[in-house]
Amino acid sequence: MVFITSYEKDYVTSNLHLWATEIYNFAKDNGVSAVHFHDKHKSKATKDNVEKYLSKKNPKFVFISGHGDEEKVCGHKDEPIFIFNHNEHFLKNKIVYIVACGSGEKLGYSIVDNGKAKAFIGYKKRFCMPYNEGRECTPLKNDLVTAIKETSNAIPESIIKGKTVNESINSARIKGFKWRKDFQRRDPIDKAETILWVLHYNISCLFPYGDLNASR
Amino acid sequence: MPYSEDIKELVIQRIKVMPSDIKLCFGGDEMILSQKDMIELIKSNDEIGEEIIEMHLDYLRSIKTTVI
Repeated sequence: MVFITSYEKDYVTSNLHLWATEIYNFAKDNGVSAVHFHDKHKSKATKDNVEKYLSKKNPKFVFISGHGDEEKVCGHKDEPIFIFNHNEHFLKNKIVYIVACGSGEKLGYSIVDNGKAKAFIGYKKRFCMPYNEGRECTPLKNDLVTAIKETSNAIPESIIKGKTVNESINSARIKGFKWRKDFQRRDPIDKAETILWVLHYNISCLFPYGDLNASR
Repeated sequence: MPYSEDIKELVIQRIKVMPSDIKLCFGGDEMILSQKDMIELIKSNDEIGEEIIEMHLDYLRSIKTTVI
């Protein structure tokens, strides 16, 4: 079973919510039962709802996306759902992937060391993405957002398929590498190379911790 | 860490050649930065400006080890 949380408060969280929804659908399509708490679900991604759910059910993989920092990750209305040195024990024996700025710092270590999660994957620094002002689209901006999404989503997709944490990280790096090659081979007029540093940055901030051979 | 003027100028020039309509989101909505914003943060030795420099340097270093 897979447990997912996301919410839509601003540009970044709305994007992350769409990505999380894709993972929910991916799990269903692959015959894996999945539960997704979000703003339009009867159970929103609040700390109480998440704790209640995890105390009753035992999903092997937990995927959380939202704003955060080194000590917390947020849910509905930007309220913290997991907090450093507070409620990591709800993640015991699970593989946890958190897409949030700085989640790979104090919170990530604590989820494994104190919360006894099998493994954690997060981001050491800020999570960065292009901003679509007025939602207008250009192929380059679309492709960069797609590249960042596919790189990030390669991790939960791999875990859902039964791959190990290490293998899921590798799949994200391979996905990122393929996009990198694609951008580098484009006509210089597109200026695709000039924004590759954003994709590289997100991949380089990926941080796995715990049992890297663990699988769902 | 404080970066030399040469390094700052290198990154500023790299930012200037980005497509002008691209803004980047470094976290929440309060951290949506245009090219001009990024350049200002670098020039003013802001913490975010230094992070942007680090991002560029890390990418440039990676080019050496990436086979195309």
